[in-house]
Amino acid sequence: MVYVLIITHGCFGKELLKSVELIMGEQQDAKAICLNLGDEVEALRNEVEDIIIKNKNLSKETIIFVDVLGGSPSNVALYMSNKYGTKVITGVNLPMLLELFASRNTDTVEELIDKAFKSGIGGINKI
Amino acid sequence: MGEIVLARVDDRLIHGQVMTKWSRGLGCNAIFVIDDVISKDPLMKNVYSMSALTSGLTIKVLSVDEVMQNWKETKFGKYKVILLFKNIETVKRVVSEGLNIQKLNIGGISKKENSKFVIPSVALTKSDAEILEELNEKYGVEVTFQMLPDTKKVSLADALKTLD
Repeated sequence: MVYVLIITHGCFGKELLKSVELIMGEQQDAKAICLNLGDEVEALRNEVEDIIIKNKNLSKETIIFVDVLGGSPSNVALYMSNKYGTKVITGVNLPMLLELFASRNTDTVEELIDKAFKSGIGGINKI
Repeated sequence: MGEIVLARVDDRLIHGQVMTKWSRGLGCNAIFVIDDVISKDPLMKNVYSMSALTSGLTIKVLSVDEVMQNWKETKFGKYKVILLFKNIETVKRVVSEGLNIQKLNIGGISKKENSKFVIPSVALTKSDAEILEELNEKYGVEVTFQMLPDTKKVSLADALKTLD
């Protein structure tokens, strides 16, 4: 099963994961990390790298979701993407996570990325 | 001839505060990260280039030599540029080599063992402070401390008092 890692400015991601679990029930292999004011980006990078390596050793793929491209969480994610080929999706929202967790047991990483991306955009409606 | 719209010391370099606040309103079209170490690190260069993919800004990661060459040859050409430095020492090097920085924003330096906070996002050591004084006295650089364009701005004189 693909491991889901969410990294955001503040604890938006942690709450987002709680919202997912409120709707879909408790999720395994999912973690959210908060980057708060005063936190060291270096420490965040080490924490994320440890998770990626640990997953690799278990032959587990990781997908990283971040809030905005250009922020420190995304810089850390892009570092992993460049170093380990980790897949990254920016602009994390609830629709994309719901789709991803719903399909996680059956789909390949590529299919999951595609679905999450489409659902993330498709979940935004102007009414 | 180009224009330096902002020169900033921020050890996170390109990140949320820079992309969402500083790069707007200044009319900039480029960000140059100036750092000898990162300019030789293809992975980190790539990270910073990718981080601004959707922003429409030109991103360059340059060594001190490269930025000085660019400045001497073209005065930054068509670029209205934000210069980002990881540390104060690098600013001193480019200023002493003739880069025309009149105002310097110190926006983010994380806490070290022997440093003290002058604003919540900047912790200075004594040697940092000495370099900033030199930049101010010898080269006329106006140094201020400010995290975001709309947060409290602290002058060098007031920051130095905090350190004493």
